[in-house]
Amino acid sequence: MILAPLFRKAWRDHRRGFIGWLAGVVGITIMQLAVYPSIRDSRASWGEAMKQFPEALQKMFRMADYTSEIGYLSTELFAITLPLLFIGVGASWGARATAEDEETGTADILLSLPISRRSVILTRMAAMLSALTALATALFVTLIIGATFLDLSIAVMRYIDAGIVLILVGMVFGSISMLFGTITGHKGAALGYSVGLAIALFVLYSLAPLVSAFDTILKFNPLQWTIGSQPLALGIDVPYTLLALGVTAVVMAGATLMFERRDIVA
Amino acid sequence: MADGTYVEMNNLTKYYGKKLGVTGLTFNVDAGEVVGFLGPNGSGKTTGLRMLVGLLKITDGSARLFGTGVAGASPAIRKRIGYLPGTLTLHKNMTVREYFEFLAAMRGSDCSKSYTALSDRFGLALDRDIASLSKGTRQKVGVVQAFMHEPDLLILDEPTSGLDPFMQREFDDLLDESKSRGAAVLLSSHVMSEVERLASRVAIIDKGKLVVVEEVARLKLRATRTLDLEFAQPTDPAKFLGLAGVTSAVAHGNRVTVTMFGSENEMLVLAAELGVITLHSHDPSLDEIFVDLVTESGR
Repeated sequence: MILAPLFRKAWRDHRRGFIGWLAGVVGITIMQLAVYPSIRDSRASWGEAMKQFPEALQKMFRMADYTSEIGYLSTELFAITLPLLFIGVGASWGARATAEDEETGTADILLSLPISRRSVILTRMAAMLSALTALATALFVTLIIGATFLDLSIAVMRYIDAGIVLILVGMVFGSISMLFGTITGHKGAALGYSVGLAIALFVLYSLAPLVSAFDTILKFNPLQWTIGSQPLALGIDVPYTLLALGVTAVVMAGATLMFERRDIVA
Repeated sequence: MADGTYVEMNNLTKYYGKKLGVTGLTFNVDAGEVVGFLGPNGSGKTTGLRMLVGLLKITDGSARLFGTGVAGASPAIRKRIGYLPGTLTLHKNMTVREYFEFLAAMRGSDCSKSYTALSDRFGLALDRDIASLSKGTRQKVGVVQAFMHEPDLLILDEPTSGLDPFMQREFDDLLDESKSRGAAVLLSSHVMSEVERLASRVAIIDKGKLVVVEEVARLKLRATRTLDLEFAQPTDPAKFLGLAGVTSAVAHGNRVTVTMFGSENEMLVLAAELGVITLHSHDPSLDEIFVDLVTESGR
């Protein structure tokens, strides 16, 4: 069902954008790793400083144990920055999956070929997954090299867990973006709606420790199922991961059905 | 279904919500035949063709390609189809060769010999970036991709749009060759002279409704046309009025202008008996017929 030439073409079409995202992920990770020794060396004074830091903000940014290796990396990388980058990649590949061909008109010739619409969307899903995996791999390599230099003691498996969760969060919002793309046939709309939704969910997720109403609905938030499970500290949360996978699969199935049953925009 | 019927449309209908796209399309295209799909801009030609290719879902009626219904057919059926969309958009970040290679790989067939030969014919440089091509050159790319796998059925939406006269001639030859090897061709156009030149039958559509499906020759016979007859002396035009198909006859000195439709046989016999010297026939172009028919259909 995966169409190799279309898979290669997806990468070719995205290569420039991907290099940008890759540079972002690796660059930010290196930067944050580079700052860590100074935090570690001034642990005592940081501890004092943290006491002055408003509790609300500490909760919002999940800043518990900030000066520890896991606490620092969780707060600075895995709480907001990297998830947003992975969501960006997922949403961008998802939005372009079917909507770009429709919007530009290249879908007419593409879908006149002896291939099914299902195989087209499945190939684009596979391409999106491969992009997120490549990004997570680059992140893993950067973290491992950085950890060696900084003599960090986090287990290698935790980096893998955190990477898998980032792939998952990218796939959740990538599939949502893909679904919007198949509903609207417009790339901009798909990107806008999915990123908008991601930001709204981020706000709910961040404020959950402070607002009891948000805390009640936290278990319905895909961000809680993924980054909320604190993978760098606690490893993969199997039930939440399965839930996120299941929801992604359902959304993707919806996108596939929608794409198969709709008129292709002229 | 006759063995060689590649396209069968039966009451094929498309609504976009409540808005009519086309309704009641009923005609066939046989192997070795070129059928012209004529209509003014916005009459529903593209909608009809896009349903055949599977880009649009059918609202009502049916369309069969090679005896298999389009709705629910395996995509493999499209191996035998070459399609040129009316609004042609090509993937831009590739060279022409890379684009053809991509399409061939997606078709699972090696078309390199064929697209190289076709590109030569159309003067297409394979190593140019698609983004740098003019509209006419892009159209050539569109034509080559539709023909390069030697399909049994060609569905071409305004195929010569943007081609210069030399390239149009090359296109005509290519169409002839495809017809000779038994391919069926359904081509849409709003340029009547083009369809007249290429097609043996036409289906005329207006405002989403089929007006007529007819052989080009018969359609022309059906149409009203004018004949100028010159005699040695003044001749009574009334003598022509009783003949089959004659709708008017007017004298101007030694000339009689006869307006008629159908067979000219009786009129020619009488003219010869009356000693006609010269005869000029203003053959109606498909253009005029088309305008007549569309006007009749309630435009």
